[in-house]
Amino acid sequence: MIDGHYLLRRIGYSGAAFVICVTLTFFILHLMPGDYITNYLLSISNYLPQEAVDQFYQQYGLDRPLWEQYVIYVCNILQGHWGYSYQYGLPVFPMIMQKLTWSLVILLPAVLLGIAIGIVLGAWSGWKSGGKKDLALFNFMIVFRAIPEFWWAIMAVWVFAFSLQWFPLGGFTSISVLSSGLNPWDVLYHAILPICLLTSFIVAGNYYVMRNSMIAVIGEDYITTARAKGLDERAVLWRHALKNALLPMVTMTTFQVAGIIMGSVFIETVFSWPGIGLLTTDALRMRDLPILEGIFLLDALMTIGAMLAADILASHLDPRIRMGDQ
Amino acid sequence: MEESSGQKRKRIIVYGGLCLIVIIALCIAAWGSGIGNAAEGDSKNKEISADEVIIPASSSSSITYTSNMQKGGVPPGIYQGLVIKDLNGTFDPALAESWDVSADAKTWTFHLAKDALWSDGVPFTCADVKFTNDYLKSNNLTLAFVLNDVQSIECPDDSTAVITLKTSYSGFLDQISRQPGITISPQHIWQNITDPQHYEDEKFIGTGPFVFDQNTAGYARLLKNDAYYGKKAQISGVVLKVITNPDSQVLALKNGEVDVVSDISPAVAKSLDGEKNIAVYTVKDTGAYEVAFNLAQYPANITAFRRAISHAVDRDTISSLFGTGRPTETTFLIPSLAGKYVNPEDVGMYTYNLTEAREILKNSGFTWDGKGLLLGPDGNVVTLTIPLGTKGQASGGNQKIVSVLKNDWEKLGITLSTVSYDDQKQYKKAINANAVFLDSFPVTLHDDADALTNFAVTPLQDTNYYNYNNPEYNALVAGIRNTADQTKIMSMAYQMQDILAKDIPTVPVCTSDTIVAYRSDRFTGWDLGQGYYSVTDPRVLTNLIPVK
Amino acid sequence: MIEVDAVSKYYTSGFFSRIRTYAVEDVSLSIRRGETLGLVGESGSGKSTLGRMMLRLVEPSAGRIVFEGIDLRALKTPAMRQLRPRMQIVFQDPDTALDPRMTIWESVAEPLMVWQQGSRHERDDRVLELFAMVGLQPELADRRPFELSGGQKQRAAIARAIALEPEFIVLDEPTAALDLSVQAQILSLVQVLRKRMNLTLLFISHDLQVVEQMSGSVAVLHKGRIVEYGRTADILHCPAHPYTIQLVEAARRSEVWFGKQRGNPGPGDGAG
Repeated sequence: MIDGHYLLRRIGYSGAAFVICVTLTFFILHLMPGDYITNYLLSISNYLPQEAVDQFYQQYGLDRPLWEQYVIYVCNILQGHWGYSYQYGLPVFPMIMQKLTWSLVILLPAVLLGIAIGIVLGAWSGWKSGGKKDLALFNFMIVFRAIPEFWWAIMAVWVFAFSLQWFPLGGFTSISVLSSGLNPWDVLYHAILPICLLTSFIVAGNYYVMRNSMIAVIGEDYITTARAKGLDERAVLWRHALKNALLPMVTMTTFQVAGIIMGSVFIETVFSWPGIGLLTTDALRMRDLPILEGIFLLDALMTIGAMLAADILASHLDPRIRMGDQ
Repeated sequence: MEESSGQKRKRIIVYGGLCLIVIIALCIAAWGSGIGNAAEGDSKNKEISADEVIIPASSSSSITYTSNMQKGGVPPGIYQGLVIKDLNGTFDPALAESWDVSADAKTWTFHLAKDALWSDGVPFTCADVKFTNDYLKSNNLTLAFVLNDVQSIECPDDSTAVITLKTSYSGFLDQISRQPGITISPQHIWQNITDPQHYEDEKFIGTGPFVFDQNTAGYARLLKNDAYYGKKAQISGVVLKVITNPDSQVLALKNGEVDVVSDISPAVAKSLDGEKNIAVYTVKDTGAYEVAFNLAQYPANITAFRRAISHAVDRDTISSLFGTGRPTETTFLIPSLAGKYVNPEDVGMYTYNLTEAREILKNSGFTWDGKGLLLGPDGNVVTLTIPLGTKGQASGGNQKIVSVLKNDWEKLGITLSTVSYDDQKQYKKAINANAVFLDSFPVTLHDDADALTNFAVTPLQDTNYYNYNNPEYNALVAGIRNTADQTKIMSMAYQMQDILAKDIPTVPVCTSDTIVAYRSDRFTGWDLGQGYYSVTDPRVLTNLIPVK
Repeated sequence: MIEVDAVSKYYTSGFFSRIRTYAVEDVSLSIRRGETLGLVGESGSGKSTLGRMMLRLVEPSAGRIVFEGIDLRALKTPAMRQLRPRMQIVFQDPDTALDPRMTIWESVAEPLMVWQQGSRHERDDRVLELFAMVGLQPELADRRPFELSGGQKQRAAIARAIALEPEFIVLDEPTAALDLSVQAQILSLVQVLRKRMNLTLLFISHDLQVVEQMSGSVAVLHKGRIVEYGRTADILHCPAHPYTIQLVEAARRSEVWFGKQRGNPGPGDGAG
């Protein structure tokens, strides 16, 4: 359970963590070797026009001392100005939100399904641990995880999209979007294969954790007690084993949900789904600092929020965790 | 007791409800943005016709443009410059139908196309040319550097533009047409825009053979410009489709989802051989890989050392490793491209001959120790480090060259190592600190005398990559800059090549070609020959003919 | 009442050659109604496994367990479940024996709910009665296990065990995890309940001293086998097996100190 004072203090800590994140992000990004304008000019021209570089530095305030840039940056953040992308000249926040929205079409269902299926399979496997079915599933998961995700993705495209032609090769929509506008069913049709793949990777990850947690719980005396009470196996599983085995999953899944903002670069690459993951790698390659700062800022916010949520949730679900006791 | 389980139930309902609300909110947000995009598309509503060519784009950033004022790269075929660099060594008219240049190469007069229109119907005039220059400069836009040499632009009448340069520059046409070049922007649109840095252009009003239609959810679409003043396209439009993974691009070609895939590997090209309705062609490159010297660093400061190395580069083996490569025979100019500018006497100097290389080293103060290591004239072992940048790295070109060099140079007693740099600035620093580096300009046109100015030190270019500084050579570069007389330029270019052949600031290695595969059942007219490596080049697109 | 006949429990390991590791090997015991049998052995001797097998909470590998004339191993799961209310277990560590997410009220009431005993109101009364029987204050009802002392938790575990009025209870070292002062209180509580409810007990312990106090007969388990089995007094006086001799000597050595502690139950246990 949670008390108000503690909650306030916890929120205070979250704020401090946020400031530290913002500071670290800023300095790490700005001290990173290489800069956008040099990369850009050298990509379009075979010599580097110094005056263009200087002009760019001046326009974006990059010629000022770093601490001054930092102060300006923080002031802007506090006023809700996230800056403009170097590459596109557009405000960063709407750009990130647009890409994020597209990413979420895949990531949200995949993460939710992945967590749910991972928990169910892991729980079942852990409950039956040592049995033939458990071992079969467990070994299958090991093999599945041992092969790189990229390979599975390519194979899935090859088999389901190219050979069988059940699904499109990639992209958000069919080309008909150009004449008849966006059709949600069409987007869904394009999203199914990437969602299935991503879901199966998330399932594999959660499966291990849930299975281990389950195995640990069914060794506890209160499970034996529950059997001794005369509860039937289903009741033992649902009333005692599952609820206790789920506790470690709460924190993990909260972070997974927070982590989806970083997107999935390989899924986005294989399926030509230009979302937040590709935006990040592209911005990193181009040294588009405002976009990177924006993405990391959002990520920091999501992660800190998720930690807070995980704490509160865990304290509600697990009575042993008492917040603000000390 | 019972209350507590009731509370629990209530809590589950509350949490479940909250989760649901969040999920629903996110879904609504997702659809909301989708609907926004759809609305954009609805306004056009033009059916996709079979005559539209579909081309894969490897990144979404390559079809997400902001405006042509900020960046050179905008959808192909929309904007035009005054002239187009022709890959046969001349310039083709674009917005300028013809041009004159004063004898001192300082005043350039362009006679503009009279019936050119902006795609919104406004006539194109000289005012737009003048405006583009003035606007870029007054707003300190990055691309202004391309027009640094321009003093002023005058408009005696609507269809004449007189450009006065600050100093003589015979390569001015090259400057404004070669990448990034300068395209002309419409005055009537941009004069009202006060913050071009952050302006998002949604209409892309240009004068070219194609008109911007829309940019939606992984697609960008251009339509044929029916009012185009020049050679009209015979296809009804171009659709760029984002396919980030190169393997998927090939699958999409096989499936018929796209009509062309550029830049495929020789292995993929081979696998497509015999595939029904797919044809493959090779575009000869206009650039080259080179093993370059930094003349400011020992031992590259010794001319004999450079000459010895010029015989220790096995160009045939290297180009065979490229699969699509061919050895390059002259310093910097590519004979098939630069044509008459190539001095025939300097072709074929860099024969691969390790014995000769050894001989040259022996005769100029180099010796070998007991283990066979090369000792410099100072008595120390010669070791070389080649810094590798990002250029040529993706294709693995640098590695291929280094692997061959390592093997051969070891036979000369030279130990060779490499260091990779991701960052351009650090790479440039490393180039300055080492004697040998690799360079590659797979796109740049090594096609005329102007390309040779890279080796010069001029008032505008106080150093060069090679730290090469030969006053005689510099004088010749200044000479070709200051004259517009083609015969004079040619004879000076010959002299420059003679000097380079003697001084050897760099050893040319090979060119690496681009392979393109296309659906032969859809369009013909892709292969325009050497240099047209880009399938989105407006000249390629206007040359396409639908297969009926 | 309960008979154990040549019961074994082994685990197989190894991939090609199956190696059997015995936890319990060929054990035979019997306990009559109302009697308490002490089961003594060091940790790892298999005594907990044996205790659980007697309730079929662990499946025996071989042998027969006969409860009131019923062969437990022959029963199918639903039939076994019907027998559960008649036999119960109390574990060594009350921390893990109670579901950490349930209040102790819920834990004690759960068996009543499962077996649908009485109306909701009657069940509440019954839980209160059970609380009183084991000496737990009703105010503690809504607490969760981690909010209670060790003694309180063990009382709750006992209340849970006797809720369905079983005939046979396995006490698996019920005091081993507790403070010495609390141990005495729990032991006397068990004695009181045994008499009041006429319980048959299997009292598992590693401590002969405690067993002597609790039970008339004792079995000594060593490495999964019974090495000594008989009346407690006889075995204490003239132990035959070397391992029993060791145990008896160890108990003697600590007797003086033990005696003092046992006679002086401190105020440590708030629930006391």
